[in-house]
Amino acid sequence: MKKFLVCYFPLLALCMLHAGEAFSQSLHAIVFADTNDPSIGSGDKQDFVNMTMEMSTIASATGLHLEKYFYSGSNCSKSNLMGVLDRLQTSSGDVVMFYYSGHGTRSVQDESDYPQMCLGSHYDNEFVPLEYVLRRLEDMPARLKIVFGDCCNSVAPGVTSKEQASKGFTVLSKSPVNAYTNLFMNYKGTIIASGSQKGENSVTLNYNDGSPAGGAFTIFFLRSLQFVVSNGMDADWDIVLSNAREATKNAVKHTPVYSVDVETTVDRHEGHAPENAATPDDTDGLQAPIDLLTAIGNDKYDIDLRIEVMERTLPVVFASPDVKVESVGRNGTTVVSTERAKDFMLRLCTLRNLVNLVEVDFKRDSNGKYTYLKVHEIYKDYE
Amino acid sequence: MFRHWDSAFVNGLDGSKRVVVYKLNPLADSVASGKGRSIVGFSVVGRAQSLTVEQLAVLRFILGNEKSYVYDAPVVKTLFAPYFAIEVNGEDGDMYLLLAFNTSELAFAKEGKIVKKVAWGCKDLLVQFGLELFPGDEYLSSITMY
Repeated sequence: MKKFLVCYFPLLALCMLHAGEAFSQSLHAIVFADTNDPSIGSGDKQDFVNMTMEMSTIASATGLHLEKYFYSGSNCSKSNLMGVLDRLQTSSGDVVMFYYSGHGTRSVQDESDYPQMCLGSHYDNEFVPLEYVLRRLEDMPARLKIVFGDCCNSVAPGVTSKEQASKGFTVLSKSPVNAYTNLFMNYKGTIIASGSQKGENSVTLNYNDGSPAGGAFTIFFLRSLQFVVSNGMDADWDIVLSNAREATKNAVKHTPVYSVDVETTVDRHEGHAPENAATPDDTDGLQAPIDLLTAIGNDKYDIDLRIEVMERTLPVVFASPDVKVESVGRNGTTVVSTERAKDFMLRLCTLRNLVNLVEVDFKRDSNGKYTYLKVHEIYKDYE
Repeated sequence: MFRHWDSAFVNGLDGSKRVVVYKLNPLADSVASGKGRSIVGFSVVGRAQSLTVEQLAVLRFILGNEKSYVYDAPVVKTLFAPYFAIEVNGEDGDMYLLLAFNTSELAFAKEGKIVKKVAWGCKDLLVQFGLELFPGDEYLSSITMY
């Protein structure tokens, strides 16, 4: 009996330890299903039932603690998905399982093999790439991450690639470069524009989740410009501004006014590959800190030189190696990565194709050193 | 029975004073309530030249041919995103034919709403037709890649 007890208790302790380990680990079950859609909603609802049931079964079988993030009907939305990803807290032993059932699509420009999820919306700016979810999860400390999307992957017109936003970069490929070059290098003269005409007010707008989108005219002007640019269109300033005016007028009932008094230049500029013009030479101490950082990311220079400049520059530019640096997407707010200054600068040393770093926001101490920095990264992909 | 709508549209093609082809940006978002110029809720971003006599004949042929349609197509998990809208002015007023290449569907629309949507099985013909109207169109050219 005593021998049995001697053997039994260690074994019992081992079992309890193992059970304790399983219970300290979680299965984060994230399910989004567009159950309201008139054509596929009923099928999506069955998917929702089947998958939530399966995830509960998996948790029961494995002893993993089930954390549920189930969104269907009108709750299947981009804002809720972003909210889940922003709030998700995982431990290293956890499993994260993401599942989506609904409409999907892709852009002509998308390079990812995986689609964009429509998440119950009919509007391009509400679509989220499936691969974006994986990228966000990859930054989290969980042991196993699974991402499933049951949706179409066909190319639809007017779908923009979100891959720049998902990677936090602007990528300047040939089409946008040519379009920007045409508009900004091949015209001379004057343009003036205002968001409303005499006697009218101009308004600011919010996104559906209540966050500020900006001035209406600015929004529609940038959209008109970026539509031309991202599609590599051979448009002129009249087209850009007339589209912006019509969109603004129809949306918010005030009418922009503009006057385009330009002519094309005699010498036509053609687009060429953008270049990182920053240099790591700051012997006169006059270079702006952001330009020094851009220079470290310039792959024209030997990596050893970039590292040397990095080591020399880190204590000059940042108040400490642990200063928080955020990289954001094109909208200036979507945070794609958060790093310590030291890690950020190390990453800069090995970058390729970086054209520019945009200083979006910052805080500085009394010595002018960054205590916080938010940047947007611009790359080239010019064939 | 949808075959009423294709006949009505073909009759409209024949009798219309004007046949206009518009290019759409069907997934354009709206920050506020307005959507800009639109056809049945889909934003208009361009317009082709008037159809030639030959192009009208091609369209009539495609729409009038039963083999153009697929009767038992499954429901697809992507949004109906028409790229073209063809407007005719018939005796009964304006009618629109919306062509979606991502779902391989066409829809007939009247008085601001879609009255019938049906799958089509003549993708190559319609892509070719579209490229004649908008030569070098990036989206149409990309469809042939898949």
